[in-house]
Amino acid sequence: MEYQDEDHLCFTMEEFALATENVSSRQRMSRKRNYDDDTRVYKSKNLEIERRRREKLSTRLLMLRSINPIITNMNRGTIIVDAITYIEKLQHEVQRLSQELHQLEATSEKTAEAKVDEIDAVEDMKHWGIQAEVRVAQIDENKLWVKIIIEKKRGRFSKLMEALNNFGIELIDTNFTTTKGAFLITSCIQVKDGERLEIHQSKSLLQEIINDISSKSE
Amino acid sequence: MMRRRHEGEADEGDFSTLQEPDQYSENLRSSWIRRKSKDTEVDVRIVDNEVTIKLVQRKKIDCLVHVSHLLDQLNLDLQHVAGGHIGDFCSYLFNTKICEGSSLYASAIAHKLIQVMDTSFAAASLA
Repeated sequence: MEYQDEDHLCFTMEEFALATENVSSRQRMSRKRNYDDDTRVYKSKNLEIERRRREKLSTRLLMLRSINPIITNMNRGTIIVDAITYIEKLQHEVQRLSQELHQLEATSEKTAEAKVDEIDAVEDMKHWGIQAEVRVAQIDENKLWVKIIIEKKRGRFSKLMEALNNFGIELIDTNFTTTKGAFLITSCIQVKDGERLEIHQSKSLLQEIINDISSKSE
Repeated sequence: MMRRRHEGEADEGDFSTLQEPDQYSENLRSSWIRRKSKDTEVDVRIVDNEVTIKLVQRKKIDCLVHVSHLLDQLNLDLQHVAGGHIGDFCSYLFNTKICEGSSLYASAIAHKLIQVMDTSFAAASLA
């Protein structure tokens, strides 16, 4: 009986030894990944990540330094300071150039007037057989349809609009186009106060306005 | 492009392809902006040297007078105008050309138009 117990005890001890050996070997296997094969030195994952982060940072700082033409020192701090000063310089440059652009816009408006090529409208109209005319037709008691053909010259349309406005004539719907050296204006007109419009009166008034504009521009 | 085969037509030439038009060698200058104020809405589009302006405004002032004056100031050669009164609003479309030697931007035109319309609107309401 004693022998049997001893055998049993021995068996259990052997089993225990085997089990512990398996565990330790498993641990060794899992740790093997962090060992370098040649040197058998343990590697920390955190150190690897930190090294990679530092490398990234240094390469990016070098990139920043390569872009920046103003370099005083190779320190990390000075690289950043130089970059800041360069950006500020560029911002000032942008402001200066935008101001210059605004000034150029203002001056170009004045100088462009001299460069404008005025078409000899009268010759063009004669060539195409277009004649200056004013036609008026009644639509309603206080509404007229108007067709005006005049020579194409700068500022004439604005002068015509101003004159009509001064006489209290309102353009309800307007169609204005330029063709072959002439302005063609077709519109419905009415008096702002809602007064009755006479065809002949309106026609003579429009003719007067156009003649006045033509004489002033010449 | 594919065209249908007519009856009695030969097998050859069933498909005819349309050639692509030549691409523009030069880049066209273009800009677009839309500005809005209380009573005015302006839409300005510039393609090369052509400026298209769409103006919608409350019908209280004769906007044609003010706009035509401004276009003269900006050295814009007026080509076409279409529009009129629609209900309580007046809507106009202006086609203009930028004169040689003048440099204009959509934002500048829109800003000035809004400014002119608003000032004249304020003057009209005071009167």
